[in-house]
Amino acid sequence: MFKFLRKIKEYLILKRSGLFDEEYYCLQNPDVRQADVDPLWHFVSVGWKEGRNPNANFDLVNYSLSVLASQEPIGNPLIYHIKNPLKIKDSRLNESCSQSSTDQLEIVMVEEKVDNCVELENESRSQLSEAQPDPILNSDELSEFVDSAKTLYSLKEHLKEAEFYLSISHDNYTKVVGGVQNVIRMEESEILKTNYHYVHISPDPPQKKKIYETTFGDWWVVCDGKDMGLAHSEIILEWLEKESLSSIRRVIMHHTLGFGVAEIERLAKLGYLTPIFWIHDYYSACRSYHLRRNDRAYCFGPDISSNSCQICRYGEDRKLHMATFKKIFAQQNLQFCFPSNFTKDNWERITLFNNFSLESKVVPLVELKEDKVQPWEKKDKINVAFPGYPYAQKGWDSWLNLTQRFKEDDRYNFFHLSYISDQSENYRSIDVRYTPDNPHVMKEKLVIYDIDAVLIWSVVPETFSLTYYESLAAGCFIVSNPLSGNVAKTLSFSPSDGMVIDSESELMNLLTSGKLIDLVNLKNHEGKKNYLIQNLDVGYLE
Amino acid sequence: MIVFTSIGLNYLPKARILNNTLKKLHPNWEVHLLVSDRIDYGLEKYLLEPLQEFDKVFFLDDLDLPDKYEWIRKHNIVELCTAVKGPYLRKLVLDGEEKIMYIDPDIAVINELSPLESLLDNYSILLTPHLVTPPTKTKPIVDNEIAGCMRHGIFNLGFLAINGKQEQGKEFAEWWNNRLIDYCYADYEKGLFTDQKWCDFVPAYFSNLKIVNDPGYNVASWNLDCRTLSYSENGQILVNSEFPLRFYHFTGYDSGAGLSVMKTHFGEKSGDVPMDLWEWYERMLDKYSIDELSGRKWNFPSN
Repeated sequence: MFKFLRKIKEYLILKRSGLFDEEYYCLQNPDVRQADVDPLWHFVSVGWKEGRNPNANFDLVNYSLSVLASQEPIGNPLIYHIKNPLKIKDSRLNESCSQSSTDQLEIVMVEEKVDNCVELENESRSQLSEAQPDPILNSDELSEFVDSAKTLYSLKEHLKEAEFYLSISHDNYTKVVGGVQNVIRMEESEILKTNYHYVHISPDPPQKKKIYETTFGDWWVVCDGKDMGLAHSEIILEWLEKESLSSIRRVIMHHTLGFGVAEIERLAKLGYLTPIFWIHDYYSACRSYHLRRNDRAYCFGPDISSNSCQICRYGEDRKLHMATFKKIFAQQNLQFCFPSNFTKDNWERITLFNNFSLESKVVPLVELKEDKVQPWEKKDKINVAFPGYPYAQKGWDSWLNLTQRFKEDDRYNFFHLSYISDQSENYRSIDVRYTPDNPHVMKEKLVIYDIDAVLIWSVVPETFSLTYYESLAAGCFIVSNPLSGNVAKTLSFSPSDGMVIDSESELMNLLTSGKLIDLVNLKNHEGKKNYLIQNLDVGYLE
Repeated sequence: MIVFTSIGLNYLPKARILNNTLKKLHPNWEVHLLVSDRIDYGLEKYLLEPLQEFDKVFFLDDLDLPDKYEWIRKHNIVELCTAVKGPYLRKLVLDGEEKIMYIDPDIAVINELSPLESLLDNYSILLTPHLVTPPTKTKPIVDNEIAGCMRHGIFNLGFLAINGKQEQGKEFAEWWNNRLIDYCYADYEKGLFTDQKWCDFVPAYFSNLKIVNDPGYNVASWNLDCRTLSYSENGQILVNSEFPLRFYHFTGYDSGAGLSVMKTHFGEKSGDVPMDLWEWYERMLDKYSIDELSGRKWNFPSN
């Protein structure tokens, strides 16, 4: 019935026992080595049945024969030997195969742990379905355990006990394009220039679990940009805590969406440098991490007892959500990183997490360095673009209204530059695909299509906005609104780069009057300045 | 303060929302539930806990009225649940209660009602009008003034408060009870609309009346076109950018008329705040619903 769980139990027991010699096993069994499977898993699953010895000193066949002479079938002989060290006295077994009492105790503990899992499994299953009193592992659970073993093996093979940074975020940055994912790519790229590896884990599926849930789930593991596979978080955590503790240089928490408090607390204890906790958005203040009340409008992150939270679907558990983060922040030693001063101030205002000392620093995700100046001739017709995802919180509705209204106006050509391309008669869609070699392809495309002005019209506060810096680097004039967070804040210090206007109707006036064309010409009258984008400086990791 | 509401059991989930939102803000106020219905055999175990949430539950069977069952039979469920407001208010006054408020079960309290409690120190009767500013466009004149208020009454009787210790409070309770006992019907031909149209007389009959025309009270889909709802930066819902939203009346929830009116006013988007409120109410109803009441028929014979 629990054949598979038994295998897991045996896997863990043998792992702890030190009686399985991986090197010996692979040497003796080239087929196993070539198959690229976890040798211990192979031994537990089929190897022992085929008479393949676990180490040079344990002869499976002889041992089995001696036991079988007087007993019932014993299953995996090495497991039997560990559990019954005193029952069999056989001179053919080397001393190295005997177990100390401490080892025995540890084995009992491992067994108990697995047995508890079985009991829990049993209990929850019978609660779920009274019609299924005799629970069995379903195929999903079965494949989950197989995946865990495979993933762990691949990871260990890749790392070979070398030191690594361990980063976490809400999804697999190698598959998803976005701001946080881009930061992780940059961070990984910089770290790989050193002698360290970069391991990344993300919950799978993303976003399922709430922070206050104490359950463990599946993680997707990536090492140095390569997918290692899926593994259960408990298995990975146990490996991190027991086997690779001294190899973890620092834990970097880019995003905790989809992780539970129990996982975060254990991760926060790893590494010999203080873990870093990035504030890329407002997830630690609310499950609606962009602070969009009912996914409609920016809510300014009000007090939990406010009307706004009372009637928002994210308000219902916000108290518990924030209390969980408060506990994590109060109990764990973390260093906070904010991508901008605006975000640090806004986050502190919203969370009021100020009753304990927070070590924090502001780390800009990119910096701009002056580059060439393109010659400029006064224009009476300009190219206007919306760079980035066509999402409501990015101000997409205003863009659609704008392009609908001015589609016939010869003074403007409209472009949408994004990874998500769309079709419209009102603007031209340009596909922008990030690659590890070219994380700032947006800037490149803005230059290629000679974009003069961009609309960065986020209606929730941007904590940094890479797109904004890429647009600046391409020499574009920025048009934004007061809600755009770091964009509006930064523009207030350098008004020549763009302007912040209050409403969509003012935006329309800007185009109707032709003032936008004048502003673009004014900005570039001495030539269109371009900037080089200097990637994330990972000095903060040291 | 005694607050009472009146329901058939199908409205129990809504009354629970009223009770819950009110108690959160005014834990010391006493909430009475007046039930014009009977609990069917076997239903008790499902209703016991929900009913215990209220400070007092009073069944129509226990109300002292002459020819009660004959009287009951003359009403449909809406008329009856409205008509009993009169005798219950009178009963509370006779019991010696001072500040008494009636609130419809399909109302949710959003911000404190303390200003109303204070008003009752000086006034005997408080009423909230449907409209607080005169419309200027033809459509709201036709819809709200002519088809709405001139047909159904100037004041919305989803809310009423009296001071039962003051003379005019007592007189109002007596007069209103008498009218509701005899004429609480939705009979437009005779110029009747349950308890509401009667209150058009109140400004003429009772001088110590306070017409509460603060737009934060009794906001509903039918008066949204003359009110603007927004959030302040600290998350409070404001009416006309100034007045805290005190209570919202989810009239027409079950029939869909409420949502439809909102969509007529604001288009599909219906404005952020009203839609947020509407969706929240939907979630609250899910939370407070009682499965065993769904599909159940009213347990009093109608005429």
